[in-house]
Amino acid sequence: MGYTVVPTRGGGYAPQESDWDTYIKDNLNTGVHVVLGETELSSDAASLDLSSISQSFAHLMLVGFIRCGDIGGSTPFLGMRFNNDSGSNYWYQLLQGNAASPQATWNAAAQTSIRSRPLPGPNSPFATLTCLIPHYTNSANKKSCLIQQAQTLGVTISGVMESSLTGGWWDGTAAINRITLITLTGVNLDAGSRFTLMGLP
Amino acid sequence: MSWTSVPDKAAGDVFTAAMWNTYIRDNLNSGVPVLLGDTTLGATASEILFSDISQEFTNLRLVCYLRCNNASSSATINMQWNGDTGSNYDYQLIQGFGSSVGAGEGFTNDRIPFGDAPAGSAGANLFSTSFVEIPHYANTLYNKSCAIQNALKYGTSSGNMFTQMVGGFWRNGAAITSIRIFPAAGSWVSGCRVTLYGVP
Repeated sequence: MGYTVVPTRGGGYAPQESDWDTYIKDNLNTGVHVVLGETELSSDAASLDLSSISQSFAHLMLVGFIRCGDIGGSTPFLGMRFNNDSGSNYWYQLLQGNAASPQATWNAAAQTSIRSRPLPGPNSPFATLTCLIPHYTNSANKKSCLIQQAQTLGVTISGVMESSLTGGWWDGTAAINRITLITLTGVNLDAGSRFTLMGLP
Repeated sequence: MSWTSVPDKAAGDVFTAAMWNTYIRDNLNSGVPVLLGDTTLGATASEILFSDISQEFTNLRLVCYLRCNNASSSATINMQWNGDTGSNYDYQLIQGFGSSVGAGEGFTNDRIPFGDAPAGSAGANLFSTSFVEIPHYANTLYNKSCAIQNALKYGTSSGNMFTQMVGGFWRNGAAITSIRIFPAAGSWVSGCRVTLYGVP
């Protein structure tokens, strides 16, 4: 169902049931972008889990403001899983710009999550993340997504900023009902990280 | 017009025409992204076309999930506006595939190539993802442009996956009233889905 343009009402207007059903109920339920879930971490957490995702929309969009709570001596890549599938069923192709250098990376074998870029640590600004997942409810075909990530270490040294676009693929054909964000090294996401999941009709 | 925060009301308040016009009409018509068109194919089709596009919004947004049936591993996704098949489009591309980065440009094209979709010999059930933003599409003064992101996978070997960004340009100042999306060869298959949004 598409969006129905809302008409003007004149003086003496009295609410009608048809107005509610067409212009309010249908438009809000199936005509506009809506927030399906939002979480801001109040303390460090190993993952962010969005489950029981509504199956009533065409596409999903995730917006994130994210960093790690502790680098832990390693480089904590961000990973994304669907439907709690921790098997080797994910692929990625990365394109990124860092200082004056464009780079590309892919995985030669299936991974246990869609890998994006390493996250900044607790002494750096939060990274910006968006993810688009089209046609997430279809149960016939494999799912794919686009992840855009931008971040800086917050100092003015060449090479500390990067902008990336990652294509991600899941071998599963099931409708996506759960999205989990993790770090590949297991270090925690930092308190203050915030995620919003939107349903696009 | 931007979103107007909806106020709290008390028991016994009368719902007036002014309230309808401000909080429902104006907020919904010009305060939130809305669905303008959604096509999910149940059979093959040579194109997906959105016509008579409302001119009431600031920007347009497309979300695409595509695969075609051409006898190849992938095929370019193409876009034309307002039925213009002339050599009036330009593009700039950057892409990552395997460990390689590539870039390309094209002038006086008869279409905007906005990434690629898996085709007939690609792995089973693979579809591409594309995201397109077309700003200020209804203005009649200035040439139009768009920003595109695309992800393609057609196999599991090096160079079989692409992540791409494309800038597309139209040498025309007309308001965009129709969008045609078609593969370079073959047809879209059943299961493809393309959605058009109006963004205030």
